[in-house]
Amino acid sequence: MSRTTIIPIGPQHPAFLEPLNVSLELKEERVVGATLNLGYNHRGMEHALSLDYKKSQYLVERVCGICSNHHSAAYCQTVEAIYGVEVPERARIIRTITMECQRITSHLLALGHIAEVVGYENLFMQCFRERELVMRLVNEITGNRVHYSTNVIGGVKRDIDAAMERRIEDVMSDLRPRLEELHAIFSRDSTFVKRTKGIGKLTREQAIDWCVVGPVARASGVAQDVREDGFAAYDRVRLRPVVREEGDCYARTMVRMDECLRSVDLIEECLPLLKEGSVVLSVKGHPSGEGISRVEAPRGELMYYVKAIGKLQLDRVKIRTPAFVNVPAVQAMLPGARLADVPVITVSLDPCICCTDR
Amino acid sequence: MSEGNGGKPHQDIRGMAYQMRASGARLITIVGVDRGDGTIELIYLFDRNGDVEDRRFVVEAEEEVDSISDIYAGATNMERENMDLLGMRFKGLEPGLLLVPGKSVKAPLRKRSEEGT
Repeated sequence: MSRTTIIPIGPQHPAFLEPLNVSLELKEERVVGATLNLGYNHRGMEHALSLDYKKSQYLVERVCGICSNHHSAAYCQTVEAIYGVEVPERARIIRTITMECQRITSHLLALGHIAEVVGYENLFMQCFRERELVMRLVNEITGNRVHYSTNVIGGVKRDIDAAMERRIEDVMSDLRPRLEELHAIFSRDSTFVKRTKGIGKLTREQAIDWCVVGPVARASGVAQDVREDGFAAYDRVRLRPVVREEGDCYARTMVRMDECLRSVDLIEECLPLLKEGSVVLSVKGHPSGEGISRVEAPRGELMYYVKAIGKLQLDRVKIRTPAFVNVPAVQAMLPGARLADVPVITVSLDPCICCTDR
Repeated sequence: MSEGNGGKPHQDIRGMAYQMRASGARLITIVGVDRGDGTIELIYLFDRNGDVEDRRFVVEAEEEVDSISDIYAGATNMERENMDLLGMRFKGLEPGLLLVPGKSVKAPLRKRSEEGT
């Protein structure tokens, strides 16, 4: 009879970009149990964000370097809801464009990462080559590559002029065939398909039980996408959420790949909507009251709760990041898997420990 | 967002969670807010058919609260986070998700009497 062995994976492991620990219970090569340990990157962000609501519109981007713009958009939306102000339409469209740019960069990072753990290093390089196009574009639009610092309470700091509109159009035209090429590789490459199809399954019922969101939920047949709420300018564009039923590593990868192409569509749809107008409105006085707002970040629903008390300090800031609910679901995916598939399954969740621990 | 239930006693938490789960609602998160009077407001946020709904309960900061982690597996870490950051207790769960008990600062999101906020 085989003995049970405990193997710790992480917090430092070549497959993980950030520190997390999965304690695996193994019988020979099969995983029979998994426990997730977090907290290696806890920085007390919720406390720090409550100290000064004005500074927090910039600090909030430091929660995560991959979905930073979504954090500031969600935070600003929440404070704007407390003030009861409507952001100018032009600013809402610019926010939508930058959020979709960031979805592409985040998904290409996740796609590159899974290609790497599958053992396909040149595919990783190709993902990052295409990603760089958008990173440079975002740098031109906002002045920054990672922490855009463009969202402020009441709108955005930088406008998009006619030349920049053309530049965005050109980059999207250039990017689309490159993404289609990547799509063909991810969907048809026999090695990649063998390493991901039927691996790390999360059923629809498990997805609801573990409260997962974003591409992880949509790959398990849960058709939820917060963009359908119509925040920013999502009520002005044609949303077609990508939903698959398989619930495996392949489905999660292909949802992200398809979403990259949908993001290009959305950005192209946004450009003609830009009409003359201001991009920011000023708000007066300190906010007072309670607000809840959410955006669809690349990893899924990102929710902010803010309780303001008419002072510079806030009574409470609560962030429910998508990774906080997605990452623990690895405990439902791992039992029954082979040890060699553990990195692929974990990375297929697109784990962000900065967001999870905060 | 819905009106919620105005802070019912915490004994109703599990009944509420069963009802929400049966209705197909997804648990978004559990927000704990220190009210500064020795009590904590627990705000359970759900997504039901695309709408955000809240259910609110006021509990004594030191009392043991019913866990809903067997109703929603995803609630486990939400409750453990409140244990670490607000020093709360949930039945059958241990702290130590984000902080190290006995080593990290204790309940950093609890209001201290000398602080205004």
